[in-house]
Parts: sequence; structure tokens; C-alpha cells
Amino acid sequence: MRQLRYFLKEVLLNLRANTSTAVISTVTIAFTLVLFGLFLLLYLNLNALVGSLRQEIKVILYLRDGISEKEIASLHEKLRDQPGVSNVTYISKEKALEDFRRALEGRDILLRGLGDNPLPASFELMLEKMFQSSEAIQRVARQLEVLKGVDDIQYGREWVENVNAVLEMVRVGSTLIGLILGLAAVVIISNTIRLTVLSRLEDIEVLQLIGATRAYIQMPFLLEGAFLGLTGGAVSILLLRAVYELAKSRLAETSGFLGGAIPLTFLPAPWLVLFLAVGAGLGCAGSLLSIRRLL
Amino acid sequence: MIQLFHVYKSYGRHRVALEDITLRIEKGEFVFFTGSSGAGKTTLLKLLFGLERPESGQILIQNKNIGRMKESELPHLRRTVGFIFQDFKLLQKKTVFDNVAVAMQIAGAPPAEIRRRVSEVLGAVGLERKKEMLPFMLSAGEQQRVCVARSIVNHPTILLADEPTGNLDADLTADIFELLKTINAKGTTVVVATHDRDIVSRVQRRVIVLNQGKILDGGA
Repeated sequence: MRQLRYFLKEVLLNLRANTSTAVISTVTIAFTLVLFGLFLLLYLNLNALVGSLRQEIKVILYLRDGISEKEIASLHEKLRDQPGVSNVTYISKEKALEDFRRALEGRDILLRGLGDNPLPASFELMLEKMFQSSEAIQRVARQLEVLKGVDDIQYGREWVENVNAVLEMVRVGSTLIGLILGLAAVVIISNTIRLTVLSRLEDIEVLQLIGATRAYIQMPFLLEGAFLGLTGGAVSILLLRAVYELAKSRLAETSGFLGGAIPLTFLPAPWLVLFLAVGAGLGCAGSLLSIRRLL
Repeated sequence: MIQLFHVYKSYGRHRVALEDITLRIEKGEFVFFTGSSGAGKTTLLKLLFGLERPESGQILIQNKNIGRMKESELPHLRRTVGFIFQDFKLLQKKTVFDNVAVAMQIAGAPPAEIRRRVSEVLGAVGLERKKEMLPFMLSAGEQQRVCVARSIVNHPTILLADEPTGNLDADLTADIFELLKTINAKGTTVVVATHDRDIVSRVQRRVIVLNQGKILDGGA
């Protein structure tokens, strides 16, 4: 604790002596984390979107015309007993037409020449969470399409898979960009600390001569790196918040995130703490790289 | 107590710095290493401070073989052995007070103790009124006194001095040696390397004469 005060004084002294390089390092770390954070924001929001879409995945079984009430009741029972099915709703031909009319409200002129009700009766099935992957849905669908009375089967598989693919790309992209930029930040911090160490070589020699241990000499430089990284992390959070607010207001002016399917969310608190920690970690790593070589 | 047994040190193949040095310095002694330039005085002091390693032979300081000491153990040795440098080796951006205090901070002394002891040694070297000044504001003699203050602040058992008055005029030289005698009188072993025969004859203490890396006179 006693020595911590001395180390912090040394950090301030070093920062004052090399202010411009310290600012450059902080800004570099901040931008590194902002870029990574943008990808992360995209990933988290898409992930939430996919999660909510999965919950809405329905399998619709269209029934052939002329199916008897008895056959419908038997089919209903079979569907309820089907593993993975959490809810079954029967939509009669009449209900289907009514829903269609409601959907076309104000434009029912389109329905005038319709004559007999052309819409089929159907069952809407909701699936349990474990059965919401595209493979599981396909498996369930294959089992259902052979049931007697089923004419056609539909489920929104492709576009969920597309979002999944985008999500995977964002995840891999953000990891790669994070790694590359992280490495760049370490090198830049390392050079900043190197300049500080070089400007203080005489002092370091004096400290060695009067009994300072390696750790005692290295600690202020390590703390300086951590401070630069931590500051960079904090600045990146502020910048990300600004970008997020801007995006949110722009999307509110249009139709919301993907048609307002889910609200846009910012990075949760644990991620923010992680950002600060990663910033400090990058700073320490940069420092270590330098002082290991020089001291 | 300092003991050296058959110590050899050379720089490269052809430059022998010390050859078969065997000597013993008792606790509380005041000893001069003298000799012309290149005689091996500074190398001998560096060996005693762990700044150089002998090629062969043993160097015992308080029964510890410092020739075989690990790098990580040397800082602890340097907290019990003070060193006065010819070129002072002060921290230029720190005040006189901080230059002395840093030696105690390194040793882990509490702040109150640091304040008390640093004021005490600055008083002893006559610099208490200049404690807030930076080294460049001081004369060479004053800077050397800061160096002396720093070297004794941790109560070293041994004080080594390499040409401590090399840059000073006659009056300042006399002041510094008075200071060293006072420190020695309190029980600290003092070893001074100097080529100044005048000061050696005036101080009248044990003299070890070196010539081309060998002891000519005054050894064990």
C-alpha cells in the first residue's frame, strides 16, 4: 500500500513526461475496443433476434379438403401426443377465411369473386425449445407429413437458417478483428512504454544501484500500461454508447430494428466490465512486452 | 567483515583487472584502496557491491559469498551496503529529500520513519535547508553530500566509496572525509577507492595499495 502511492506518483510523472504518446495509445486502444464492440453489439442483438424468432417458429399442417370431423379429432389427438409439440391449434376453413378477411380489411373487394371458400383447414403447432433447431424441425415435419389427412406442411426454416449464418459470420468476424486489433494495440502500448523506459534508463540504473528489485522497477511501467488500457476501455464504452444511441434514434425514425421485432439493446454490465478489463489487460501486455526486453 | 580469497577478474583475454587478491577487512575499519588509474580499485569495489562477478575466488561479505549470489538476491545486499559514486548518480527529477527517501522506500520503511530518518541524515550532511531543491540547483559538493546521505540512510554496515571527491575542490574534499570519518566512528565499515595520495596521508587509516591488479601493500 505504502509503495503503491510511490508507484502511482511515478505513473503520473511518466504520463506527464510523455503525454502525447500516452494519448495516442489510449485512443488506439479505444478505437480497437470500439470496433470490436460494434461487432459485439451486432452479434448480441442478432442473437436476441434469432432467439425470439425461434420461439415463434410454427409448423403449419394444411389438411386436405373433405376431411371428416372424426379424422380431424383423431389427427388432433395424434399431434398432441407427438414428442416436441408444445401446443396444437386447429384452424377451420371458416376461421382461416375470417382471418384472411381481417388481414385484408378495407380491401375485401379482392375477395368478392371468390365463390366457395378456397382456404384449407389447418393445424398450427408450436414446438418445444429443444425441437427448435432446423434439423429437429425437419425431423418433426417428416414424421407429420405422412399422417393421414395432411395435404401440405410449412415452416419458416430457411430464413432462420439465413440469420443463423449471418450470426456465425459476425461472430467469426468479430473474433478475428478483435484479435488483430488487440495485437496492434499491444504493439502500440509496448512502444509507448518503451519510450518511457528509454527516457528513464538513467533513473532505472540508479534505482538498481540502491537496491530496487526488478519488480519494484517494473511496477510503475506495468501500472502505466494498465492505466492507458483502462482509460482506452472507458473511452471506448462512451464512444460505443454514442454510436448505439445514434443507431437507436435512426432506427426509431424508420421501423425499428428489423421491423421492430425486438428492441435494440446495449452491451450488458458484465460486458462493460470485461471491456475495461480487456483494455487494462492489453495495456499490461504491451508494458510487459517492452519491459521484458529492456529491463 | 569483508574477506576475499584468491580473487581473479579480467575483461577479455588480455586485460587482467585483478589477480590473486586475498584480503580481510574487519568490521568497523576505515580502509583506502589506492593506486594509479587502471590499478583495479574500482573493479575491486564493484566486486564488493555485486556489480561485477569474479572469475574465480571467493568474496565473503558478512559470511555471504556474493560472487555466487543470484541476481535476485543482489538488491537485498545493496540495501545493507551503501555506495558513494564519483558521479553521484542522483535522480534528476526528484528533490534532495526524495533522492534520499527513495532508498528507504525501496527497503519498505514506513512513511513516518522515512520522514524522520531522511531529515536526520540531511541534517548530518548539512543539507536540511535544501531538501526541496532539485539536484541541478546544487553545487557538486552538495550533490555528493546527497549521495552520501542516500548511502547511509538505511544504516548500512558497509559503506563503499569510489573516488568520492574526484570532482570536488580541496575544502569540499575535506568536508566529505570528515563526514566519512563520523560515519565510520558510529561503527560502519568504510572502504574508499582513491588515487588522491594527499587525502590518504591526511586521513591516516589503513591503506591497501594496488598496482596492475595486484596488491602491493596493506593486504591481509
